[in-house]
Amino acid sequence: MTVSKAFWKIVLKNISTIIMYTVILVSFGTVSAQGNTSTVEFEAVEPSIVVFNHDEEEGITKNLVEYLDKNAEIKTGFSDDDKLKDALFYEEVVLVVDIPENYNKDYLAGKNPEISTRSSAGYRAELAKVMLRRYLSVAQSYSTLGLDASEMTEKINAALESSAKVEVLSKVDSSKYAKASAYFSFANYAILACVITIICLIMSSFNRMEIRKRNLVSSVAISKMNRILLRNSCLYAFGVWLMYMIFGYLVAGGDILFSNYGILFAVNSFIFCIVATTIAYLISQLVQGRNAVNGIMNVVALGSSFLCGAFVPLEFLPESVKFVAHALPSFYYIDSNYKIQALEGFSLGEMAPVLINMGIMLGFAILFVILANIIAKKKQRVA
Amino acid sequence: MKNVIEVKHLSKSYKSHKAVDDLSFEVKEGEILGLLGPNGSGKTTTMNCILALLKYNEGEIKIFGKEMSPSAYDIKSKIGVVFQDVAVFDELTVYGNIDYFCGLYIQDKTVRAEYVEDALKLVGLTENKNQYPKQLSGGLLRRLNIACGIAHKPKLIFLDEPTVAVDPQSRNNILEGIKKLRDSGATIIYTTHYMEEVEILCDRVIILDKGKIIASGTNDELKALAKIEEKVTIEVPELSPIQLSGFESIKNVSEVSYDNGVMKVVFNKGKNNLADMVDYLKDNKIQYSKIFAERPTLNDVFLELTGKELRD
Amino acid sequence: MFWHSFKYAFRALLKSKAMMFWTLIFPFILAILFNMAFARLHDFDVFEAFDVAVVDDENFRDSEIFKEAFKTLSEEGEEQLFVTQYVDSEKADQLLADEKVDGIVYIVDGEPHVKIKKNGTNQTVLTTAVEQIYQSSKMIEDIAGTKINEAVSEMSPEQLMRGEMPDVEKIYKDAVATVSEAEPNVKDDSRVMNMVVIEFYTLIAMACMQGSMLSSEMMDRCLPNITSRGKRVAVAPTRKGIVIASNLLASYSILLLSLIALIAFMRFVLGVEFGSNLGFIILLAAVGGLASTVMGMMLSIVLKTNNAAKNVIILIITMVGCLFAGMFGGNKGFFDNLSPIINKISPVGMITDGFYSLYYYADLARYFSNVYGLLIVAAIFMILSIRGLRRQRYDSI
Repeated sequence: MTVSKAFWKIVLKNISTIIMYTVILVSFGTVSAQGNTSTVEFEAVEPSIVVFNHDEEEGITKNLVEYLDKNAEIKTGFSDDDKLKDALFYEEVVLVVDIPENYNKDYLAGKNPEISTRSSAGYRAELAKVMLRRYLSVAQSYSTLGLDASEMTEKINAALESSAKVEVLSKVDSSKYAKASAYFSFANYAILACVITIICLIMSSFNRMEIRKRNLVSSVAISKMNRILLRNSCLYAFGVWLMYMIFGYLVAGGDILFSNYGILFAVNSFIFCIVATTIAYLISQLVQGRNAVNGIMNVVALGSSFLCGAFVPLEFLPESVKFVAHALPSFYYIDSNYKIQALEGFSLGEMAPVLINMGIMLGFAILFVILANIIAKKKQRVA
Repeated sequence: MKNVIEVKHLSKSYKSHKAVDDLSFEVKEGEILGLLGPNGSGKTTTMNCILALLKYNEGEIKIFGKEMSPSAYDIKSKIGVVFQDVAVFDELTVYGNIDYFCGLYIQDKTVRAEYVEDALKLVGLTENKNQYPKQLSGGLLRRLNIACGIAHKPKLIFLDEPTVAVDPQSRNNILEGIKKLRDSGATIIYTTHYMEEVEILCDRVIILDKGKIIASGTNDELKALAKIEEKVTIEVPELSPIQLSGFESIKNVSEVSYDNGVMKVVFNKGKNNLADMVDYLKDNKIQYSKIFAERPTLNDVFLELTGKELRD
Repeated sequence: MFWHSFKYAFRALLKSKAMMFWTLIFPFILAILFNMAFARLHDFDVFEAFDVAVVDDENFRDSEIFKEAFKTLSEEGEEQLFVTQYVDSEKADQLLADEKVDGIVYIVDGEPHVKIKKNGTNQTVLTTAVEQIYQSSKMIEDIAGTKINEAVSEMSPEQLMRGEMPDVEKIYKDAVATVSEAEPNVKDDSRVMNMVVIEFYTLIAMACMQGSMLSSEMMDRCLPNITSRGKRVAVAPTRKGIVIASNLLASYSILLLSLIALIAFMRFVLGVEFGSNLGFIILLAAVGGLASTVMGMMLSIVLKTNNAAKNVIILIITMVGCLFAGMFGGNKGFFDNLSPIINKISPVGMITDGFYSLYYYADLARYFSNVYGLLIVAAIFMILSIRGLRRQRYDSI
């Protein structure tokens, strides 16, 4: 069993690489579990704003502050302007509203006093701005009526009450599994990095050993050695998968584990690990040596992660990028993650898109194995 | 003859292991001194201590009469070193490599260009000068390694196992080159575990084992230590035990053995031993097909002094 | 002597495929990938109109305001919000189920209803728009009613007796005008700042960190305890410091050239915002590259190990630094709150924060605090390196 022993020795030697990608994955998962990067579920979250009121808290001013309080989360403790600027940049606060002195008085006098704001970039800031402008438009419309403060607030609030009846067809709260789907999508990067790096490094060092052994007329037949290597590679990929599942359940919450969602996420990731192993096998036929392996691995792992939505949700990718991404197995893996998240039931019909994705991934796996074998055969002939 | 190097009571240990143990010797101007010993006998360590690369526990080292130290640049400028490992840049051409290392010694560009060409000629790489190290065979790579170490025409040259894993053609080229260097006036310290090379090349030999000098002198002086004059091998198809014991009565014979139709006879001193032997064969009408005599080798010397072979 | 060594070190680096890949090509590939992945986040103000279905029944046709509003919002042009299909309710449900539209709008008793499959950006935009239309319609009625009442109460009894009525149509029109022309007086002081630029800043920081890899490789070539080439340098009659300095300068020059190329590519080809002062941008890249170069040198001297192990350590410092600085769609703000110290001492964090403050802050205090921070880090690594180099003979090689 010297081949197996050597295999795991090389794995242990590169344990720091595995740990690094795992740390990155888990940290990312934890951050995304805080929900502050997830753009999908912002509907449920009130925008965080900061209000600086330079006017007396009375009349229209008071009403404006109350409106903002009702529709947004007012954050305090930003006396330091730099801290506020940072918070705006990182969208911890999306809107800062400055209510000027004498706002109430000027407004009632029929002037249209200026409210100054600062906002961050992005959708949540836009929503917060819409919210503020909505109030100010209503107030502006009524200002022509020449009413007193209490009549005015009454009318304004009545108008703001008017809401549309929104019916959401989907019965599941898809945000419940948003963390899991973000985690598993990010895992695309970590799985590819860990599986490709280690397997390719092992393959290239064995290929070197193989040559040496052939010269010494090895007692282990090449085909037998390849079989042992393949078995151990699969075992290793399985280990990576198992580890990421455990961390996934820790990050995304344990209750997912025993749900159908959890099982689907696990199956999806498992199939992707198979694909990753075949990619590693293919790459190991093409390049050798630590530097080349690291280079190719980074380009493949980062490239497919960026293009297929591992770091940025799929819905934010431009159409052209998504179109190109269809040529990569990672796309089907990540797309499945989002589809699983949004699943409403587990009938065959409902799961069909996910199952099709899994089928496509397996197709990629077979394709990669065939390609790798063709290349291996060609190389043998040349040698 | 002046002493180029003087080493007195040099000792160096790695933790508890004594790599070099109270070594004293000198190297004379214009000679090729061979440092011979099996792997791990302290040859390279001795060399690195002399070059002030390694710290040593005790001892005194003088080169050209001055104390050697890491910042003794005037001494260093007259030294050339060829290390055991091939130390070249994969990204530079053969010419570039030699020029780079030569440039660490020679500032003047025109002089350097001339020196680099000379070095290329010496090791026979002129035609390969625009190739990269990766395109060179093992033997040519070794030659490049040597050229890089000696291009600046040093007065004192250290060569550490320059012929390890080299094909016979390159080996001859390298040995010829070293002789040329000596002929042009350089003093050479040659480290190896190939005794044949030492016998061909070296004016004087120091044999090291376990960090100690166990013998030193010219080839002939050393061989005298072997207590063997010559070894004669005879192919004899048939031989009776009585005939065999008869061999021991020949003058100067110290040892006789017979195995599988081959007989070996060792003479420990004297002259005309082979003639005596042939006479004996004729007298006793013993049929023989082949006969040849060998002079003792340094391996015999090493065997005599340490009880083990030079090469395992 | 110095230039002789520099020339060859520079040439050797240029020829080294691995080194050039990591310093020059890899950051470019990443920059292009970033640009593709973040393209829509980058230009979030380019809003794409989306599909909605409106149930075209009597209720809808009776509601002038909704009819008008949807017509306006669906007109092609820059202001277009929706691509509207007017269909019956069955067809609308079918379109929603097939995800051909993001939402359905229908009117019951003058009240608008929105039907969506799940929450999302477009759905929120649709709901908000419908609510605003509804709100405006109610306000128009309210204002017009009030004005008519006012007009009536202002009339003399004679006028009323004569059966005269206020000009209802005009009042109504005025009310529509009042509501639709009511423009909130909001002044937004902020420059449009985009969090995505941080991703590109971390990328430059990462490219700076490749300097460690370059310099540790160059350093190895000068150290006799690591490579035989180092032994050659050690036995040559040249000060080791000169050879080391020339090698490091070569690696630093290559790094700096790559960084400038990368920044120029990001700025002029990809259109990444950097703030206006080109000199400060280059200064920051130069200082960041210096810190990383000295770090690689220090690791080479202190670790006394082979190149692979060194590269793993450099990779970990770089990648974890990048994660904390906000690469991978992460949030630097979050990590700053989680552990403020990491981004203050990690070179990646400081470089990223330097670019950020240059882009975002008007005054340069914070920018310079990062520059000084990097210089201090470089100085510490330098001291450690020199202490390690002082020893000129080795215990073992």
